[in-house]
Amino acid sequence: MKRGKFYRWLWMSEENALTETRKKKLDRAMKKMPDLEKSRREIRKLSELLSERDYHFRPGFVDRTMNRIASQVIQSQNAELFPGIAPAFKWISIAGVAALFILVFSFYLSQGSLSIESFFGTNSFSDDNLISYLLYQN
Amino acid sequence: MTSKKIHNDWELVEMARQGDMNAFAEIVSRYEGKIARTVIGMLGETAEADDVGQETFIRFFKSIHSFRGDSSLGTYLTRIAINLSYNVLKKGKRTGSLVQIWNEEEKEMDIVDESQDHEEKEKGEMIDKAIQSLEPGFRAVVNLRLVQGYTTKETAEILGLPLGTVLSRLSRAQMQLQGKLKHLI
Repeated sequence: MKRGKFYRWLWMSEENALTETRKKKLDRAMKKMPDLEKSRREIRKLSELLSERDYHFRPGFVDRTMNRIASQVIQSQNAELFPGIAPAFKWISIAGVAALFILVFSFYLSQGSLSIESFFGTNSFSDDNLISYLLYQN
Repeated sequence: MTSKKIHNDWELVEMARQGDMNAFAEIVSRYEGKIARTVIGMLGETAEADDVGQETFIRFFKSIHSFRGDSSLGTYLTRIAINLSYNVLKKGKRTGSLVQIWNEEEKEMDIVDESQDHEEKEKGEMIDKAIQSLEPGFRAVVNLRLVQGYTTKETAEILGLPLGTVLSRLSRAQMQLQGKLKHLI
């Protein structure tokens, strides 16, 4: 019988979870190996020490959790109420970007440039045109 | 005078399934301590611990219809909490040491409450440090068996491990903890 097995059995014996046969074997082994008795005392002391540990979340844990759940419920309800919204937005934005691209491209073809002047249709204007316009507009 | 009926876990689950949020809040309140012991025991008093604690209940809320009651509610929630804690540890989101986010608050409380036994507090911190120094697999076993008082068999069931593995981990963890806590044992 391996020595390690007895050490593992000690844990089971503390829970009264050993079969009668194993219990007897362990009792016999304990008489032969004083280390086992020492280990049993240590297990008991360790159990006592660690069972005293208690941990707590910060105050307000229930509220924080319920708030998160509520916000997730609202999100999922919205998704259920308007199931087509998200995909529709996707297609609208894709179509919008495509239309913008076509507009810019056709503008480039017709004006030959993408400058601000060509956008406002003033690319063929000179300063003289502007001065004469301002001078003789009345 | 109004008397509030105390429902058992299963009744609360059924009520929560029908959409009673107060019933679910009662479940959270009832198991907050148990989940805190599991999660803080695994991760230390970190920001992640609070998040994982909340996430445990959120996961349960989402899967409440699939809870069959094969195991007790406490065991079921503990299993979720352990798995989520493992995920956090695996992702390496933790900084490694025991980072106490509300350490400052506690220190302030210490100053106010002069009757607090500092020796006991130091002892507790020493124990926490020793537990945190264990590998996650060992830490989970120690947390469930020694801190929370589950039996070895229950610990094995929660962790989905063979009984022999749990016993072996307990023996090895015992040796490591003895070394670290020799002046307390």
